[in-house]
Amino acid sequence: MSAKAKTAGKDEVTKKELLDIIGEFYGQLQSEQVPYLNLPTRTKANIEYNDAAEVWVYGDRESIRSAKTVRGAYQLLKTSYVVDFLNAQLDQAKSSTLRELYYISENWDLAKFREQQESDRLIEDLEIVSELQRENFHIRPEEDGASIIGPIKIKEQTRRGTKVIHCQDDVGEGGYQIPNNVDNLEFLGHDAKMIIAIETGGMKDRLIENGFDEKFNAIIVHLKGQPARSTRRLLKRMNEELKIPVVVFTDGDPWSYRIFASVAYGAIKSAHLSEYMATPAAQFIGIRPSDIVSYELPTDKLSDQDIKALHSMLSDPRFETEFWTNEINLQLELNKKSEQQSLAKYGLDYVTDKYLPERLSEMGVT
Amino acid sequence: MLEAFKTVKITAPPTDCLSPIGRDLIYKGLEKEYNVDFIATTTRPPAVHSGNPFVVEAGIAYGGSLLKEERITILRFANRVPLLYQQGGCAITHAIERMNWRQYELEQPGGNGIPVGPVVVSVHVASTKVPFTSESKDAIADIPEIIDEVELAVRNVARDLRNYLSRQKLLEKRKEKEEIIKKVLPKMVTKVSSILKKEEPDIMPIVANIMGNVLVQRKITGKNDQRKITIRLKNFGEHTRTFKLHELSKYELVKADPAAKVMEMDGEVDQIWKISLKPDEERMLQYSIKHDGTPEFSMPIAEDIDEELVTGARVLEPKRVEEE
Repeated sequence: MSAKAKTAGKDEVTKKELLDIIGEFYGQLQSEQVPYLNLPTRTKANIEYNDAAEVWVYGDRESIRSAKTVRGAYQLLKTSYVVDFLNAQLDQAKSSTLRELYYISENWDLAKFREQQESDRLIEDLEIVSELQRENFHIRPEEDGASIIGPIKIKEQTRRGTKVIHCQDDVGEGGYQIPNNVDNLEFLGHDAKMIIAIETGGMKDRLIENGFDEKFNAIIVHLKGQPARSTRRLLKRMNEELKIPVVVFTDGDPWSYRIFASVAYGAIKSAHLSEYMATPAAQFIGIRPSDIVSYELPTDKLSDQDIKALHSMLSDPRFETEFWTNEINLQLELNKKSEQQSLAKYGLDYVTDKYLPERLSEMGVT
Repeated sequence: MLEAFKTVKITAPPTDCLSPIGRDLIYKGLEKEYNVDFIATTTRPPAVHSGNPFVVEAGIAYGGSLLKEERITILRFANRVPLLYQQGGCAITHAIERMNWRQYELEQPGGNGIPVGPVVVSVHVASTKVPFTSESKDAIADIPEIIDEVELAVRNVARDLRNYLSRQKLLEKRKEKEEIIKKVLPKMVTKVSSILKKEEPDIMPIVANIMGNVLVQRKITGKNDQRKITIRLKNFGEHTRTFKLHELSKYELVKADPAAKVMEMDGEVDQIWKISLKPDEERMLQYSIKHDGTPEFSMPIAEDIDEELVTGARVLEPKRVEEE
């Protein structure tokens, strides 16, 4: 599907795909059927491993969204309104953000969205049904400001001309801000040995201050919590096109493992885009539950939600490996979690002088 | 011999020595004390324990401002006196606990014990001798005959509650369907058609499909001075439907296929077909009229069928007097 999405640059193709959905509704109405739409079930029970792409994608389970129920009827009505809007937007060569779409629905009377989550989800549904991406619809996410810093030279086509940027020499302390559409970037050259994706801003700044990018020829990517699509896509492109290994460095709690999973295996919510965004070669550095023991890290107690999340991970097919099963069980046993910054217990340089170099050579990255 | 006594039907014991509260007063009591949506009450026929006659009465109240997440409230009375303490040790409580409340649409964690829901159950035991567990007269002892009678009484009112709840559910469903048909679907049809710049398809068949009832759809074709009228009937429901269809017209009829019984009234001609449609069955009624231009018709009329079982026809109010 990613191939199709990439070549589907023409708005005409997008319009046709969208209108086909409406055409289907019309056909159902004409043949006296109650309108419906088939969608893959978007839960962890319906994701399966795609051997060719080495990522997790949606399985065969489908659910029917039918106008026979009130909920279904409203969703189909809203779908029609959104397609109408996207269609007009494509005609006028305009674009809008997810949030703008939500506000535009204010004028749609019955088809108005109650919260932005609802309209975001509907756009994802349309992506799945049309096998396109929201960029094709001219729908942008809100700026999330994730950034990279490191020895790589990038050419970006911006609205104000072509820019060539070296992500170490030409940027400030904040780094190079990842644009929404990463496919417009061209890689001109690099001397990076690895890419290190970091969950928290505090740890990213620590590595930059300690000169980790220069010392280890590393590209530092800030994930900023659950990473945006553009961040994940950039990681995948750098990994596959430039053959630079990717490691992921997060806190030691279930939410962070999910961040790693969405980078490496694909997220459940957007499994229709896994082949396009997941980096199967990405490796997890830590913090691992076993680190809590071996490094005697300062910890917090697991909250009820943490424990629930860990248990739910045990039945998540993406985590069905010996490594993760052991680590998750160990964490449940310890009943503790640790943050990346807890390594500061041994001094500010410990993470760059000791923890990361040790772990990286252990994993064969350096 | 004891066993034999239990199986023989003996005249009910005298009840003039007992003073029950009565269904109406239990009803009024619950109505006065609680703000609820539904109340049911019952009085059991008299029974006997150890030679003492007794009568059990029960009431149930549901909804309103009662709390949904809490266990139900039990009000116990013995000879018109409320029992305030030792609820856990009382035969009334035990009878309620051993019932399966899930079959009465109430939640019951673990499948036994006091159920959860916005419910008050009130039980009155009247007897010449109420067997209390102790001198304090706080709880009724677990005499099998009494527990059984309490259970029967409570089951009686619980059954009424279940009927009420399933009726509410049905109404709720019908309301939802109406929302789809009247509000959402028309908007969707308009939107979908306007996006594609196509003519709006007739919504009636889909309405009949959602309602699961019989569709009556009239189409007019033809040219010059003849118009052909086709009435299409389709049963979207799960049951066979039988009814009469009337088609009133002020124009000169040519012929009908299948043939219809024709009656003249007030200058109009009434064609009547007897219709029986199995689930999914479809039929066409056709006739022609002599007319040049667009003929005017009122809706077809269906007779001997419930209003909610037809889409696209007016339903004749049942006038049983004329029949037979």
